[in-house]
Amino acid sequence: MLEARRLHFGHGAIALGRELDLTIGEGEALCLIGPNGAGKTTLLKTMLGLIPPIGGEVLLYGAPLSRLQRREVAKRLGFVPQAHAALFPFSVGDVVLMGRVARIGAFDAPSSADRAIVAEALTRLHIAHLAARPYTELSGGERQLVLIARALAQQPSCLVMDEPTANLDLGNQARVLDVINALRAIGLAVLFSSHDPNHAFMCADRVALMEEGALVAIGPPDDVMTGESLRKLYGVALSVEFSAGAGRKMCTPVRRAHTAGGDND
Amino acid sequence: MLSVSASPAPRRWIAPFVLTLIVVVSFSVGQYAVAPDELWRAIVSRMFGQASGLPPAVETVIWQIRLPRVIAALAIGAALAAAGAAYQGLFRNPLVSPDILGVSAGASLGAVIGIYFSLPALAIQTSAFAGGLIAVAGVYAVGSMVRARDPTLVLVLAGMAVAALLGACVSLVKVLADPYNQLPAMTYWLLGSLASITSGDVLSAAPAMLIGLTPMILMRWRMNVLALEDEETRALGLNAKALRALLIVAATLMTAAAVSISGLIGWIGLLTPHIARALVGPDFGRLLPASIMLGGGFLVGVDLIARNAAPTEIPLGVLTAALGAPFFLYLLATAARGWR
Repeated sequence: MLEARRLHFGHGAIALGRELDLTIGEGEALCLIGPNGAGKTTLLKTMLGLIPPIGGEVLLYGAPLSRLQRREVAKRLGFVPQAHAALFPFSVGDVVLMGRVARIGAFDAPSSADRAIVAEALTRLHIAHLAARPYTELSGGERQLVLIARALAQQPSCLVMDEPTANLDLGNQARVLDVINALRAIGLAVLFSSHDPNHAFMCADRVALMEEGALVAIGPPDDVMTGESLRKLYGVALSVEFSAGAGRKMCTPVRRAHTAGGDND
Repeated sequence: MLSVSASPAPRRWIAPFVLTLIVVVSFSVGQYAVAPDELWRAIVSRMFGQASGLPPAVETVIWQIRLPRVIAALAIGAALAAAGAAYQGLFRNPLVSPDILGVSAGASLGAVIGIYFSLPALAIQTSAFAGGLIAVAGVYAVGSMVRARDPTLVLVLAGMAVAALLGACVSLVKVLADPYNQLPAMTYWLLGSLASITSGDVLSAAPAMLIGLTPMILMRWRMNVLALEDEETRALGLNAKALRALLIVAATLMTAAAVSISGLIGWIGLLTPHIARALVGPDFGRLLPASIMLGGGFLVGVDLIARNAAPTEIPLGVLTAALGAPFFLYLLATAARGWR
């Protein structure tokens, strides 16, 4: 449904990545993994049509994104930015309601049907109790859930999330990843980025490893993320082993020996 | 847990209540006092077309002297406050006031040049109005020539620079002006006053104010979405750039129209949207009417003080700053939650 074809992307005329191909299918969760500065955010924003591609094209259901109106794109493609500070204290309900803007006429106010969809999105993310709270008074984790609810209120078939777990504590990270799994279960395609390989093990059908603007490997997490491939990606020794307690593979840095004079690595 | 932004119902009635009270007091108090019952009889008799039985002097004071002035103050205060509320949302910055893009500076230069050439009052107004719009158009042109990550910030900085340049031109014209006739007129214009305002002035400015207000009313819900980052707004399916430009034009038109008939009146556009936001929350559909009522009420009240506090009229700009600045500091200190 969302496809990058020989995509050159970057800011201005300087390409961060070249000739990149990537396809996300219906109901698939694809995780973009890579170190800081690999170009994950720029790629995601280019695939959303927020940054114009330098070359190549992005297709949404086979139609080039550049020829679609923003309004049409927004009905199919939802964007969840990183949880951010907001200026004015809009209530959570009002913030989520903004997700409806592509489906509301220029001079119209939201209808009761729009409000019902907002209530449903809040309920799905278990944050209905926050509806009347000012967004500005929420914690980072709550804000992230609100932004996901706003994207759901767009009623898209594909969600793009830029590091949805960044700056969240462990509990909130797990909550957001649970939400991604729940969205997959109801048939949404999810494209998200993360700097933590464990997140890909937890909720991705496929994972793409990104290094300096290029996808160096793409496939099921268990095949693609090995100790060897991740060591190359991050430049430190990593162990990838099955954890019986977690019920999945885990990735952790390997402890380096710091014995006196014994560092013969 | 205190839910502040949800605007409990009684808070919504504060703005209309304050507005009504100030207007009534403003009709009654002045060099010629009008008792509230006289005012009531005059209004009732006018509504039903009967003779009021009041002395003609009272009728004249109410309908010929006070009414045009109160309406002018209401219209100008409301226009400045509405423009301020819109600008703060459009620029995603609570410290923005309607003159951020140089409209006041441009209008000042237009008015000062008009006075320098001893033009008639209507021509001075037209010159001020045109000056304001030309200044903003210039700022916008400069802003869109610069390619930057944050175009809004560029626009604000360009506005500051252009305003400084125009300010220098205003000073130059003041130096060249005749110090006995023209200079006092210029100084008065630059401090704002309603002392010589007529119904004709209000009527000539009303179309521009209403044209500016219309898109704000029609797109009051969309205004909320513009408070987000441009990238997010576009991801939600809205062409932020075009809509932002349209509403900036609308707010500028209102400000230029107001300033052209009253002279420079600061603070209202910055202050009243903050009070309104603290009362009814940030939703533009409620913020706009509350700002309009508070802005109108504030200027009627300030004008009331201006014509009564001293033997000669005090310039409005002096009073709005003298009242506005301490009140703004009070709002900051008590952490009214309007802008957090």
